[in-house]
Amino acid sequence: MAEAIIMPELGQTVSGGTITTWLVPVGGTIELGDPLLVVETDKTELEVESVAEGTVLRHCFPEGTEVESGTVIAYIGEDGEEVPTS
Amino acid sequence: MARPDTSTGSAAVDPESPEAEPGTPVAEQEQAAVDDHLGQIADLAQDGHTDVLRRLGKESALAMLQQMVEIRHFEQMAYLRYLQAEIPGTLHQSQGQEAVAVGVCQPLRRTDWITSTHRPHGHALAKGMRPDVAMAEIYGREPGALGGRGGSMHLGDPDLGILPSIAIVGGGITIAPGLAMALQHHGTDGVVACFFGDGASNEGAFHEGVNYAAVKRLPVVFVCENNLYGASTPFHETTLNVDIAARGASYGIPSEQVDGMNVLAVVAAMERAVQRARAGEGATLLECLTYRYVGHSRGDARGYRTKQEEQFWKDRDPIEQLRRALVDAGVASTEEADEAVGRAKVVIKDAVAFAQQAPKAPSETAVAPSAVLAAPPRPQTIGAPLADGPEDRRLSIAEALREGIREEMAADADVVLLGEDVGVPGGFGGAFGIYLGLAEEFGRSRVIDTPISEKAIMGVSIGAGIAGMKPLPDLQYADFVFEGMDELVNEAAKLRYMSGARLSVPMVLRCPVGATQRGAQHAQCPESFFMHVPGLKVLCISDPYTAKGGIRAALRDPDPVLVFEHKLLYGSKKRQEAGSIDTRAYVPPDEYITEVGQARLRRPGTDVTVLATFTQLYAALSLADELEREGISIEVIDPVWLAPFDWESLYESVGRTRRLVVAHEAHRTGGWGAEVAARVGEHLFDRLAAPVRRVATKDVPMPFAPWLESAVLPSTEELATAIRDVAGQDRPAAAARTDQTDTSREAVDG
Repeated sequence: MAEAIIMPELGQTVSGGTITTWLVPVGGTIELGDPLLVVETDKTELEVESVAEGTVLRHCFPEGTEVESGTVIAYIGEDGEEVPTS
Repeated sequence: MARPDTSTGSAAVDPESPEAEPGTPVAEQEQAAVDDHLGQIADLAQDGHTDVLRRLGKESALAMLQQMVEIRHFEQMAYLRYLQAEIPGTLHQSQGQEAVAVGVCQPLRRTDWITSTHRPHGHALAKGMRPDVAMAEIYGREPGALGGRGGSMHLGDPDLGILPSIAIVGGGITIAPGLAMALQHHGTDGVVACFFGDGASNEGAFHEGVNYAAVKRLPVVFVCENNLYGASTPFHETTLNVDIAARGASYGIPSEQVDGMNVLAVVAAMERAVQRARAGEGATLLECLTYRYVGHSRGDARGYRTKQEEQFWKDRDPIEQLRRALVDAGVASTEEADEAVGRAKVVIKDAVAFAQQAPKAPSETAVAPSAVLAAPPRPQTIGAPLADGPEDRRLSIAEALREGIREEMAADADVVLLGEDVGVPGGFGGAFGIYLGLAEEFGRSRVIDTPISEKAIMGVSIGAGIAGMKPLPDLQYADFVFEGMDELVNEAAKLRYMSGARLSVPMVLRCPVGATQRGAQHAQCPESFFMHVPGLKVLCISDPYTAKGGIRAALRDPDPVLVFEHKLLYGSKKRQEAGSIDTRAYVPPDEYITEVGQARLRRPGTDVTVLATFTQLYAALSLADELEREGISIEVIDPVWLAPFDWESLYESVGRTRRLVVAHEAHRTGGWGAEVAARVGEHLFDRLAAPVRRVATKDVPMPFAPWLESAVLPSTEELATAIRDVAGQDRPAAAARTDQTDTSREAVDG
């Protein structure tokens, strides 16, 4: 089953950040622990590692969007799996 | 780089080392320190220790590889699941340090102990904790090793010899010698490996714990994981001599710097240290040079380190090194190594799945009385007034304490006394002569003279108690208890709870209190502090009958008990203080014990309840006849135990007399009388004829001069005035309320 990837808490004092770059496109495959996206907070820019392996099925937000921690930002699963669209 | 036993006195620090050169700019000194460290690891790495590999053989070597990969993968998966908000709290992880955990635990048996730190995952797995049980604990779930009460920072399992890890930096260093003392006392050749970081080497606990283990020749291997940083601060910024292994010389024990990125080097060093320990040759200090690839905890972006530095260490990756060594030495094939790695990944995948689906512990388990205390409070009815008996059995408190301790020592070989000046021939027999004769009778291995190291005395007692002994540490003056507060409050009181009720900490700490013309630092009555700490029991001895029965009850209790005794009440022949009170009373010759948590009625009465301890108890008793003649009948109660407190007996008395005066020599503000006043107010407000009054020491430090001291202490006149005052008030009692239940008492407090 596809895994919903959430925006992690990236520091002791920040909650969320801006998605600056998706490092793996929709349809691309990713290994556990590989960088999935780059997030900018008021403090720094961080690569966020993938917590799942498989095919990136959906990016929920375009680059440049500010997203709160805990929000679902992507789905990773098996190629062709259905994932929620909203 | 091995350092032999330095009791022969070789110089430990190279005076030519660059950072020691005077006049060198600070930045250059710092760079020199880092370069020196990197140089050391490169030097150490020249020996690949492949002989160890051949000696261990294929099966053990592959098992070590699998375990290191399990630890690495456990940490990585925990981190990723943490990012997914599945794991609460925080994580301190050990990617990069796997060789130290696995190498140190390799020569250990299940019955040997380890102590660990806030970064314990690798240590616990290496000592035999199942990854699923460990992961479930990090998730806070019921089947976790500690039922979710410990979590990431307290991972442990006493059955596997893993003390729930101690997240106070350096905290394990004083406890490890106590665990080792118990292994030795019970005639085993067991060993304790004590993990700590570079930062901990600057804690006072390091000095006290290592010195204690050294001088007592205890089987401890102190394992410093020097990963160069205490959180974000480079070690060399806080420490001029960065050579931690050099400190072995200070304590007269062998020490060694080890390539902590090569598990074979760690095994080799650990085997030497364990062999010495098992042979009764004492402690060793290993400094393992290592590196954590990740931040100190979550949200640490490692901005304080360079990519080059991180790469330097990743080039020495412990997993890759072992894998290569295995294949190069022909011990295992590439396929066999790959299979070990594959097995590890499956184990961790299953562990995560187990933790994700594991149930959460029910909330009742958080407040279960047995989670806090191995012997939770029981309902009590008040103890009877002291009985009379033959003159030759009228003992002082000092004599009664000695008799009770003697009986317990004779009955149980696990009871040992430890403290300063307790057993030296021709010495004091303890600061107040309580132990006179005991060293001669039971030997100095059971009446143990310690260094002046209160942290070590407490820590050793905690460790020994956990491992099956009944230690009776002694503080010459209760004022010194603050030297060991971390051990008492963070460890003795909490280890049972943190362990998910898997262990208990039997120990009895004797603390003499009270002002005796010695000024502010030898006068305090600090008993109230400990009433505030769940997990501790607090006994206040004010009479000889309680002295014998109470100290015996304390020594038989499975929980940590602090015993407070007033210096003016001892009646010790050796130490008569000005202002001493004669408390001699009948003490039965038989081996009785008193109830834990039971108050004692000292004099029945009808008009005012006076609740008092120590000197104030005797002040109240001395006033009783005079007040009786005035028409005021006082009921005098000694609470005896502040924790667990005999609330029912107090409520019963105050319910009748409708008036309460609390008198203690502890300071007024925050003194135990404040808690009593609050509880009685909450519980009996409608019954009270007058406000609860407190008579206590004024809120100033104790002065030296007797005429100043008496101005600060509560006086008998003050007590008399307070009693007369409340006796003269008669606020009408309200109609009985139906909701008399004090819900705050229904939780864990007795």
